[in-house]
Amino acid sequence: MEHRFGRRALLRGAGGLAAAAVLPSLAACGTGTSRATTGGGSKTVIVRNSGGAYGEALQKGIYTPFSKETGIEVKVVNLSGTQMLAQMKQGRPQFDLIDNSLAQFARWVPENVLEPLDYDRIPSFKSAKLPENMVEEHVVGKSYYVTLMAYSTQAFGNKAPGTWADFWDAGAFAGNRSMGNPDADIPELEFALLADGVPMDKLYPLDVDRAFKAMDRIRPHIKKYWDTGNLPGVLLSRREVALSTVWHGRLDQLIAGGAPLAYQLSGGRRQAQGHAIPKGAANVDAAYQLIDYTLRPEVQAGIAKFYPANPAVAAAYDKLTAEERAKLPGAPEFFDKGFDVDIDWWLKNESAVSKRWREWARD
Amino acid sequence: MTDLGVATPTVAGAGDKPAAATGKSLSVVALRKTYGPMVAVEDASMEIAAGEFVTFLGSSGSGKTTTLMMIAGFVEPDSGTITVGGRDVTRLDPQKRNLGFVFQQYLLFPHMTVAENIAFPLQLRGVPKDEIRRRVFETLDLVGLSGFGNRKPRQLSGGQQQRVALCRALVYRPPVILMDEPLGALDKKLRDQLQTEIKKIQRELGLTVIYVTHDQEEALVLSDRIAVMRDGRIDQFGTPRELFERPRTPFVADFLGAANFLSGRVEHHTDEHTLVRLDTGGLLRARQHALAKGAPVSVAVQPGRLDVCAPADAFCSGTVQSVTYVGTLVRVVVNVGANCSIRLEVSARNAPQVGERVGITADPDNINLFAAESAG
Amino acid sequence: MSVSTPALPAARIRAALASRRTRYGLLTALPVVIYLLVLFVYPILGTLALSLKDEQGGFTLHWYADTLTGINLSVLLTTLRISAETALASLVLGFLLAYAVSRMRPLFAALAMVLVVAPHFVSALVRTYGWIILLGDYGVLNEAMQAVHLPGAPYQLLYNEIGVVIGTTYVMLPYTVLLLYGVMRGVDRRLLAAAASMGAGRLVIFRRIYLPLVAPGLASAGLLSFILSLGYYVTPRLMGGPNQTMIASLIEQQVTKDYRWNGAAAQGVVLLLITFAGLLLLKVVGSLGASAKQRSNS
Ligand SMILES: Nc1ncnc2c1ncn2[C@@H]1O[C@H](COP(=O)(O)OP(=O)(O)OP(=O)(O)O)[C@@H](O)[C@H]1O
Ligand SMILES: [Mg+2]
Repeated sequence: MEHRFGRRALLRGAGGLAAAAVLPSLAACGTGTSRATTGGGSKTVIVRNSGGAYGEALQKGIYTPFSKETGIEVKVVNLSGTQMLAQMKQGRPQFDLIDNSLAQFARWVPENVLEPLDYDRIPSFKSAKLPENMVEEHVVGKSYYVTLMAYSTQAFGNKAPGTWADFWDAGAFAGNRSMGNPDADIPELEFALLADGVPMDKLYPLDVDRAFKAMDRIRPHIKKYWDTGNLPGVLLSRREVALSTVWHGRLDQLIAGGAPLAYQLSGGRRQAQGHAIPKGAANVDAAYQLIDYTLRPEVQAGIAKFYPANPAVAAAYDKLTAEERAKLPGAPEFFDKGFDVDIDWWLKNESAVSKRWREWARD
Repeated sequence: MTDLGVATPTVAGAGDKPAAATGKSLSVVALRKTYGPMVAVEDASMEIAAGEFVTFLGSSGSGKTTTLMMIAGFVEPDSGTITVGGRDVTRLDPQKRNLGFVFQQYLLFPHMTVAENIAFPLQLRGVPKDEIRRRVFETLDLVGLSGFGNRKPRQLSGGQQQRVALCRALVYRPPVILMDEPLGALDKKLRDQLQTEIKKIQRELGLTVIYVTHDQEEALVLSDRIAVMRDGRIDQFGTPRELFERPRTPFVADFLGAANFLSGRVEHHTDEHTLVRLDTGGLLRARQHALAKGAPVSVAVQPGRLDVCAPADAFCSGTVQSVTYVGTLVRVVVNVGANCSIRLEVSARNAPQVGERVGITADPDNINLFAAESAG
Repeated sequence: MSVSTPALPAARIRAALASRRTRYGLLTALPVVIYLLVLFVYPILGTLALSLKDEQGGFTLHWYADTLTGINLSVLLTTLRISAETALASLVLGFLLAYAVSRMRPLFAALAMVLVVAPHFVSALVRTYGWIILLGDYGVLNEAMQAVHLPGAPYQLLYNEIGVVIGTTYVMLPYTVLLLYGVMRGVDRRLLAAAASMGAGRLVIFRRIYLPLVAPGLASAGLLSFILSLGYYVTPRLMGGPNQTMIASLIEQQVTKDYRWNGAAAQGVVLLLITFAGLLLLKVVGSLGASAKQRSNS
């Protein structure tokens, strides 16, 4: 990765040259006013994201201000992983930039469908100071989503479950539980191990046998294994369960609406989300610009305002109020109380663990 | 299911050689049924004795089926009472009335074979299997359908289906059987044959039968009494002879005897007879009728009650228009006036020639008079 | 052409006409044939081929062995069981509902049908919530049953087999109701009157006359629900637990998560075969019943 800076300089030079070359003709047409500042030839970029409230937040926090600043129109598509892979394998993806989890990207790397990133084309990358595990050859991180514990504030009197050991303690914290189904996300073995006393920094490689033994203990209290992100909120607010694992952010609307629910911000499992460019993308240049824009601290802070996604750029938290930060498990106050998922370990073991989970879950 | 208990004793009695009368009396008082503004049946009343064979005779749409349906319990009367064997059944469910019914539309169960159809009412009554088999076979034989037991109803012709429907009602010998044109789809020969069978069974078991037909001859052959229906009303209820010889309305006279109608005025009364001056000019001698002198009347006389004679002795005369041979009788049409012809049935020996001028005479006792306004 | 020859024997003219008609017939049938080939035969053959290929492209029965052992077999059996339960439940419920509707006046019948079908246009998300409100521990049903002190209440009506069967039955209901409604409207009610005139009570009329008359409809409605249920995966996920995972869910998982098309193809083929077997079974049972009847009567 040493050669990065040299190449960047070269490319910047080339880009500038290209811009200079097209500029007169564009100006003559009278449409190229903002092109001069973009340094590229493309007017549109098509981004794939998973849509929903998250997609809306991205639109408000990133795409709209990005278009305003650069004049590049951002189009959004919501394709499934299978659809994307099929398009990319045919070499003609209908999107230029993918917003997805790093775990998902990691599975595509061997398929050879992602463009290796040229970090020189991402000027704000250096100042972003992303954590090491967010910088890959094909993928650059942008934010975290966190799986953590949530509970009904009315279920346990004045007590509140603080650790995974509490989650496992059906005596002190009586009530039904819900945990994730492998249909939704990778199995939640880490929580089982934490509950069983494994220190957070010694989790990986996971002791799968020990984890399932711990899962055995909680199983009688699990009413439903959730498979869609909104289900924990529904289950908790309808009092079907008192405790649940949940994707951070999914309860916010309910809580704002007065539902007696709360997150436990400690002990969460962080999974990185980021950007990658598919091979064969039509608007590579614009895609790089959007990646670059996303990594600016003020833009990062913006995402968190619209959606409780956790910025990956540490400097972004400085731009948030203490109140806003208190809701984010990715904030410096909580960062060390949670852990990052080990993508490599899961990449090797997910299939086997999921299969074992399914066998374990059936009688 | 308790209703089946009512039926069982009757059936047990009807097993092999039944005792005299198993039929039940039936009475209908002031039955009325309307469909919206349409009056289907109005003021129908009759007393039927146990073991009697009664026929409803009438034109299409006159309310025969509706009356039968009310007796069976499938149509609820607007008002009136129905009693079977002294028990008021007006508000009783059909299955509790213990009546048999042969439907105009056969209504065989399409999913059962012919034999199963006939066995069905017997099974309901808990008749042993062997007995059922025997009786189904017997009954089918009776209507000339032995060997058809394993067929499905849709594999039969209309007439065959009708016979199966008849079997199904007869086989369990209900004390009262209602039959809605049960032989309507059959040819003359089969019809005659089955009429005899029905009559025989009815007589032997003393069943009460109400029978619906369009066919006056059939009605005359079978019935103890006939109810002639018109426009939802019973015009007359009596023995065939009463209806034939003393029709109470021109409709009855026409319907049963296919009567000739002539119009005229009452001339005068003698001790025995009423004399009528016909519009054609002749003087007709009829039996005594309580009609005012000079009143317009309608004269009804059946073709079979007329005879040819010398024009001098006749109450009217004319030219023979046609002569048709029907066995030992000939049908003669005589033209007696401008648009007026009279039909006669006379012995072949007395047959006149076409174009011959003949007189027409009749026994005064066979001539019926009606006040003219009711002549329709 | 020979048609222009004047002295052509009549038979040959007819033959020429016939063959021309045949050719014309084939030509008009062509679009349908192509349609069927492209949309049904080709994908099915493709799936079949996929299910018999190993990772290197050679022939193998490994995927079938995999489908018919271990957890996959247990999922398959669960699928059959839940489908059968659904068929039964939707048949009984559909029968009652269709009967009630068939006895209504046409206007009310149409209204009732709309009520049966309408909730199906509600989104899955809202429906998830709706079921919890209705069937949850603190749902309408359980609260009501507790209010009347029903022993054992609250009952667990969600996230188990009961929940799944409630859900799948609900989805199937419009099909069975519509099918049975059509059959019931076709029953000549005078036949019931005929049976009543012979003294048959309500129960006997129902069992001996009405039921046999609607039986063909019941059989096809039952089979339809069974076959359609085989392919469910949203409802079992929504309303069941891990023990109610059905085969379609497994297929989906393999395709979208594991990118394992071969195993999924094998499971798809097995599902298809079960469907055909179901159809065959219906025919066999039908003809067996008919011949048994024949024998008992002869
Ligand atoms: N369900 C009904 N609704 C309306 N009108 C009816 C109904 N049933 C019978 N009617 C009417 O009542 C009248 C009597 O009908 P009914 O069937 O009793 O006649 P019928 O004497 O049996 O005639 P046919 O000899 O043709 O069988 C008819 O005018 C008929 O149109
Ligand atoms: Mg009639």
